[in-house]
This record gives sequence, structure tokens and C-alpha cells, in this order.
Amino acid sequence: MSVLVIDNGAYELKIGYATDDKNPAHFRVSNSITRSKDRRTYVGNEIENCRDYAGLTYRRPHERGQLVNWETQKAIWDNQFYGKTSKLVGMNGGKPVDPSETSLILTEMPYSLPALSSNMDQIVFEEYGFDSYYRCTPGSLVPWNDIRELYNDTSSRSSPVSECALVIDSGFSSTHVLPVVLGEVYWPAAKRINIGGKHLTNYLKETVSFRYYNMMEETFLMNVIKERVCFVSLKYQLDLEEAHINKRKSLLRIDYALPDYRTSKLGHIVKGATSSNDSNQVLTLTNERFTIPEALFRPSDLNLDQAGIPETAINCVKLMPEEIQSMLLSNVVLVGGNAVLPGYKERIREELQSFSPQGVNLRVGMPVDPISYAWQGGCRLGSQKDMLSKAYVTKADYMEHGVNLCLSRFGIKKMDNSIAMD
Amino acid sequence: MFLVQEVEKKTKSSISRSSGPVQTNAFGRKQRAAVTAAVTAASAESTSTSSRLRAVNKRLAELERENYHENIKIDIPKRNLEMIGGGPARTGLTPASRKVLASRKTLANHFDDDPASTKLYLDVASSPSAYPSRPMCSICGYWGKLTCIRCGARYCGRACEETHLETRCLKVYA
Repeated sequence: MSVLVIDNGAYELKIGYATDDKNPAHFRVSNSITRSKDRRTYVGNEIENCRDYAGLTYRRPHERGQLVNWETQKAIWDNQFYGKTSKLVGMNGGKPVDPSETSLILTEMPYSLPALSSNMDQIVFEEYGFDSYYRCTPGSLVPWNDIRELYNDTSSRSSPVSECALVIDSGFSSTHVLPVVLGEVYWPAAKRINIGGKHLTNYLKETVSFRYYNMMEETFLMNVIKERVCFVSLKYQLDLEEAHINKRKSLLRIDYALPDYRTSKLGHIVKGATSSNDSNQVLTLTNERFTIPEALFRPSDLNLDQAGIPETAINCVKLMPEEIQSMLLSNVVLVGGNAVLPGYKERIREELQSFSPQGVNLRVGMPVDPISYAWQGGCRLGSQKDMLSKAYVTKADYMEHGVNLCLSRFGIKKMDNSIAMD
Repeated sequence: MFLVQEVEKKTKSSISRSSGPVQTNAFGRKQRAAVTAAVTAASAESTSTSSRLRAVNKRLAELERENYHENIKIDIPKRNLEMIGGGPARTGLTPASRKVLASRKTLANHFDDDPASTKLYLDVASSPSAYPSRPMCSICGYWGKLTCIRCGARYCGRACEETHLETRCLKVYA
């Protein structure tokens, strides 16, 4: 019986079999059906074969992070499970996924509507027929990794799961702050900020379209530019002044040569003095580079009336029992795509430090690969069959007890430590 | 701001005073004119804040949208040949899963169906910040010390004010 782990993100799904390897193989697959300008459609990662990235439009199974459209999701999954070009199939010696011989660990967004979770259960058991299945949020998988590695802490761990972790998961649709105790999210303190990578990309798109060139249809390109040039400012006031006073010569200025879709698909950052024979259109970005990601820390800049990540994190910690507050602050883990932004970790550490009570040993850790870290946690859980067998629901049980069994087993649980304690 | 408060005060007192028909007769022409002016000003103020709120919400909704054009329909390609053994036999194996796969419901529909869980979902949203917001220039991104008296947008100086008035000023006269 093999264990398949899918971290089903709204932007990318992370998929792979659970193994004991130090670096288990897994794949990131774009969770979308994309159409190019010449009206060809590409499912998932097939988009890499597209020759012209201009004006791509997307169809995604998720809406605001909640899995709404299973028709789309099934097409993308089928492509991964049975497709001749699927890397997952290739890794498994060309054998497609056989659900009846496979356990599934699958993630969904925290506080998904019960009707949508139930849809997920039905598809997993009735459409695919997986042998057994465990549904959870990505945040709760994170502490199955040995998070002490992130803080260069060499003390040995007694339980299979890290006892305490404050997981800050900043993804595509939203950002979640989840206190995870013994592998279970403590739901009364969980918080969500309605800003994710999608909003940053759209904000950049809107800003560039207003100030420079019309980019409203170039979501794909703006996402690439965001990933390449944006950073989180550690001294916002100074950077803003610097960018304002001396816009032309500012150190913060970056020239980005836009793609012409003949010689380049994505464009590139212009280094040094602009060569005059470079015929590409150049987009000059200065304060856009850091005022855009700043929305994660000050959503009020976008007129969204919510606290930023560090303030939300500290509010969340304050809702926890007092005994474990300092433990959570010593085990902050940053995951999700936005964590890759340069300066993100430093900024969160700096602001959290100023909010924390004195004498707290604040430790903020970021894994090497924050995007797949939850998947890796799921892989650790999946490779410990005795743990997993306590958590999952088997197909036989589902057929006997019906949909409500999954809802009660995987639903929002109060502090239920039964999985990790023994 | 002070003016607005004054106007509101006046409106309230004038409404309470004008509750009886006998007292209305006691109003002089000057007073009546003042009341009319105050009421018009107060209603103008409330419509402008609500229209500002509407503009803010509209923008936040736009930031959720990945495709610029609305109602883009992308069909799922049928290419079972590229799947090993033709892929899964057929879709919709049981009535329940067929129903899920055929569902055209949007998230908004699901929210309407289940108000209790929707409230739970909405309540997890982080509360507003305890710190004041920083006004940013809506044109260039620098600090926005000045406010447009027509639509409330922020800008940093003369140049950005002009750009704002030419392009983005939202005020619509009803």
C-alpha cells in the first residue's frame, strides 16, 4: 500500500508518494487550466509547452482558496494520475496511480465550508475509490517535519510530531496564522488575512498599468516580474524617501526588459547601463518593488481593514493558553509562496520581536523550500504508517457510515491530541 | 471634519425641534433655510462615504480576479488518448459524485446555502489593526499627505493632484 500526498493549493498542487528518503521526490503542478491567445488549452503543467505567454487566461478549481469546481480539479488530477507525460507516473515506472491500492493525504483550506469538504470526500471515495484517506489543512502537516532544524537546534525530539508551532502560511489566496499543538490546529486562535500572492500580483498589475504600460491582461508576466524584483522592505520609511528623492539614480531602481515573445518568453532584468541596442521595451520599477509586498504587513494600505502578518500573529498567540505562548513564539515557521520574497523572514522577526513580551526567546524559522514544506510534513506523516492509520478513514468505513463519518473525523476539531500523544 | 460635525448637530437639533406641527410654524424663514441646507449637506456627506466604501469594496473584489475580462469560459480539453489505458473509465461513477462534478455553484452560492458555516469562515478573518493606517499617494506611492476634497483619495503634491483629477477622481455628481 503506497501513500500519496497531495497538498492541493489554489495556485500549485504539490504531489508525490510518501517515502522515507531525506529528500522525497515531489512535483509542483500548476493547479489551473490555461488558455493562450491562440485558443489552445493547457492542463496543469502543460503550460510549459506554450510558446506565447501573452494574455493567458485561467480557469481554477478554487475560489478564494475554497475548492468549488471539481470538474476542473478532476481534469488536473487525472492528468497527474494517468497522463503519459505526468512526472508522477514517470517516477513510478510508468504505472498510473491505482487508487484502490493507495492511501491519500489531502489538504484543504482552513475553515472550508462543510459542503465543500463533503464534496471532496465523495470524490475521493466514490469517484476515485482511494483505499483510505486523511483530510487536513496544510498548516497541520508542517510540524510533522523536524522544525528544530530551522533553528539549528540539535536537541532530540521525543514525540513524532513537533509539540508546538506557530505556522504562518502565506499562500496564493490568503494568509493564515495557525497555532499547531501536537499536530492539531488550535482552532479558536486561528486567524486569516485576506491577502495572498494573487492580490500582490494584481496590485502590481494595477499599479504598473496606471503608471506605465497597460498590463491588465498580463497576469502571468506580472507574477514573474513580482517574483523577480519585489522584496520586503526592512526600513520602509527610508526606502520610500530614497525612491522618491532620487528616482533616476536610486539604488532601488530596477529596469526590467519586457519580453518580445520572439527572442524571450519572460523578459529579464537589465543589468548595468542599459545597452542602447536592446530593442525591448523597458519597465522601470522603483518604489513598486517594496510598496506592493508591504500590503502583507499593512493591509490597510489597500484599504483592507485588517492587521498585518506580525500583528495578527501576536494577536493569535495572545488567544492561546498562557503556558504555551512563549513556546509558540520560539517555534514560528514561515511557509507558503510569499515567504520566498527577500526580506520577508527578517521583517517578520523584527516586528514580532517588538510585539513580543520581554525575555521571550523568539525564533523565526523558514525552511529551504517554504512552498513544499507542508507537503514534506505530509510525507513524514505518510511514511509512519502506524500514525496515519489512526487518523485516516478507510473506504470500507466510508461505505458503511457515509459522508458524515469524514465530516466528524476531519472536521474542525477541538484540542484532540489522541493522534500524536500515544 | 469640524464642519461636518456642526452640520450633523444642527440637523439633529432641527429635526427634534421640527417634530410638532405647531413648532414648525414658529420657524422663521432664516431658520428654515438653515435646516434645508443642513439636511442636504448631511445627506451629501453620507452618500459620499457610502460611495467611497463602495469604491473600496469594488477595488478589493477586483484584486481577487485573476482574469481581466469577466465571464471567461474555458472548456476542459478531452484528450483521453494521452492517458495510460485511456484514463479513468468514465466520469461520474456514482450519483453523488456525478452531482458534485456537474455542480455549477460558485462560492457565493455556497455561502448563501450555509449561513452558519459562512459566519464561522468570515469570523476567522483577522481583526483591524490597532495602529492608524498610513496614507499613501494613490498616484506615485509616496506618502499622501493631502486628500482630494471631491473623492477622498490621497496624493502627495501638486503634480499628483493634477494627475488624479484628470484620471482617477471618482466623484460622480448625482
